[in-house]
Amino acid sequence: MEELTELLKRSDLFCGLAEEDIRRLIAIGHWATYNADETIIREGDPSDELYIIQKGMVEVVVPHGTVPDIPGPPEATPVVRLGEGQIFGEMGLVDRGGRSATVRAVMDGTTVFILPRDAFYTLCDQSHTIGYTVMRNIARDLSFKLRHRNLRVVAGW
Amino acid sequence: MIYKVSYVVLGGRHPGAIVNRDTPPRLGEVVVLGQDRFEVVEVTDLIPPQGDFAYLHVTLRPLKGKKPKGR
Repeated sequence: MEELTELLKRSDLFCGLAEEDIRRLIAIGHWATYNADETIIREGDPSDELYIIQKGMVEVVVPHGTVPDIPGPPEATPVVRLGEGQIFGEMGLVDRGGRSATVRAVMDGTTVFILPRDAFYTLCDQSHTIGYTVMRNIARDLSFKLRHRNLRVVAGW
Repeated sequence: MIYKVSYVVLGGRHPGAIVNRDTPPRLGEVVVLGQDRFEVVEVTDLIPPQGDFAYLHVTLRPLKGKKPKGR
């Protein structure tokens, strides 16, 4: 448990949480490992889980036409790669909409910690400190990703 | 301190990446993303630090040649 706690403390999703709170989050989640090119989530599917990359790297791919301000090629397009400590699937956790992108593993042995939405919301109801802190960290992560995308537009598609 | 870095590659052919690092990126440093090598040409603070995390933006310039095998 201590090792898992230390691993998850390397994700800013848990920034500001006490170790006991991180242990409560670990208790409601589970782990999964993927090989290179294996799809983890698929665009359009229902979204009910948040993913934290513990090891390896993933690639986020959006279908054509979903990023209107970025003129891309007419096929599905990789928009970013995410490494250890990063999260994905957070939009569905917040808005309950379908998956906005497909995410696939880039490397063999890519390992993710999976946080189910319903169990997470139940925990947030039990501890508003956990709920506020994690939601604030998700908001910061979304802001960071938006700033990354804006700078990418400036750098030239 | 953990450095959360937004890598943006000039020219836009590479999707870029968001990764955590244990050391801050430096100008001129060579960064390997997958099989490709890049040179750091710009480092800026993207948002203020929070807790143990610093949030940086790095602009990369593609270098010719793939990452040597075995590294």
